[in-house]
Amino acid sequence: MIDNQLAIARAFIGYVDSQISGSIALAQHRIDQSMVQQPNYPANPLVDCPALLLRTYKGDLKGRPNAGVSWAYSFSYWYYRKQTVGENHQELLLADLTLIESFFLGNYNPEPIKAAGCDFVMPLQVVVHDELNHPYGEPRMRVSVGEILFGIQAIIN
Amino acid sequence: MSWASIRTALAARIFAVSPTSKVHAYQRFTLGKPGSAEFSSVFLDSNGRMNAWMVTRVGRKSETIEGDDRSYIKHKALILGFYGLWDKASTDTTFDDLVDAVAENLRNGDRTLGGACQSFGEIDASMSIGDLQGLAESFHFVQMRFEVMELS
Repeated sequence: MIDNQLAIARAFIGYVDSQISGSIALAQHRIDQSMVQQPNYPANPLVDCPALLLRTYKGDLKGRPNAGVSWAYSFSYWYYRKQTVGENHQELLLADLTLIESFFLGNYNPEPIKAAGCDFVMPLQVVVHDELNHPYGEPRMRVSVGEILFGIQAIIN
Repeated sequence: MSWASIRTALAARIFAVSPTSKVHAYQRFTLGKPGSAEFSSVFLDSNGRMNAWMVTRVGRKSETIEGDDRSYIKHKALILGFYGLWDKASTDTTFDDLVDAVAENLRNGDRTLGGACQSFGEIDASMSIGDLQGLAESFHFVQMRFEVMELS
């Protein structure tokens, strides 16, 4: 029995990378190196955004041995987008989140993620969070924050 | 980034607003009396009037960043402005306008100071009248305080 949470998370990154290329020029796209409480203001939005950070939250083992066992994982993509004064920030954020979500709608087990042990993956929730302010309150340093929550199932036996 | 780069950039911004002023990227001191070459080199502009700006700082602290290996360095910047008082020429209004011009240029212009910092906070300016010790001359004086943040 293998817990494929990390392998699936890495495959997630690779798959979304292949889909998003040419649409959004991400400054960062990776499994979040920290487990700090989200949302968390980026250290330097001028350089660090737009950022797409994958957080894994939990893996529930369901079923019984020899009777069908599966892992149920919860992942979140946290998306940070620096605002440009004068734009409609909510519209732009939602457009980007919708694009990322679209990679998983109608394709509930993309090949690279399937190869990592996933049975299906579904976006469960798209959230537009409150914007984050720079400590100095400067409007051009505000950051829009969105989250896409995913449910993932991996069949073991 | 460094404080040296920040103060140089601030001095350049002030000079851009008031090219006739004498602008120093650090705090100057002199024992020279008005009329001396020493005094002139610190305070007098090209028209021979007291019209000088200095950039210095009065504090520095570092802060760790949650979820990040980098740190913020925060400098408490202080800009000092000196302008010779001459009531007949309404220097009070001239100096007021100059203070506004410097403050608005900093506020509305490039807040990274050409990449020398990440950003800086709002400016708190306090104005007063100063006297040159032992002499009948007075000058308009401003202290502009704000915090400048860089990433380390």
